[in-house]
Amino acid sequence: MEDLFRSYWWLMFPLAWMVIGGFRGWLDYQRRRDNLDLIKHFADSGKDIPAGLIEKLGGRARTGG
Amino acid sequence: MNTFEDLFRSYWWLLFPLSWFIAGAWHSWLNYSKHRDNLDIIKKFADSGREIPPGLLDKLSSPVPDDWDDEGYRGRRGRRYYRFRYGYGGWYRVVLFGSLAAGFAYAAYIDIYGAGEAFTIVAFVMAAMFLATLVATLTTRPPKD
Repeated sequence: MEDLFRSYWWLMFPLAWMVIGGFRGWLDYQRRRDNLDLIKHFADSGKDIPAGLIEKLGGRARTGG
Repeated sequence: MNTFEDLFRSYWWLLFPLSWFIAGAWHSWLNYSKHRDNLDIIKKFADSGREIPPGLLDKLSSPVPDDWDDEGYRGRRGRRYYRFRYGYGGWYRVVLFGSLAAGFAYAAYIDIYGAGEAFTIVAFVMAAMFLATLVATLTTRPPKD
């Protein structure tokens, strides 16, 4: 086990990178879904969507970092 | 017990890059939470029939920190801040990764601590990040004001 770790410790980096990438992708998905929920909320309540809201929601989707 | 101690003595420095990954993930999560909270506030304004403040809508388009007012966020300084803090690029990161790559390459060359091979891999990773950050800094455009 120790030998394995000593031989392949560097695998931690690409694996962590992939995990973080997946996590950020999932956050982006949640973010877009929440945006749609807000639009749906406006539509369900029969209110007009404020000017500029759609544009702002469609902007940068990345979660930063 | 000795095995773990040996491993720790050999790989203690792994704590730094790993905590970097964890901090990055935490930062992303906080940004997402902030965006969600902003949506909740907008929803509350809509439910109560009040007009939504324009400044609140502006906060949706980018993860700008609370202490950075909207006026300050715009303009040259704001764009620079945006790139530095949220983009993949930023000259700060270019210099950081460049220095790290050079440092680790030197450590690999002189075989410091007898761990030249390990430092070679780290130097490659840092050099890749340096190049990627440099390209991103030169090509990325911040959102329009």
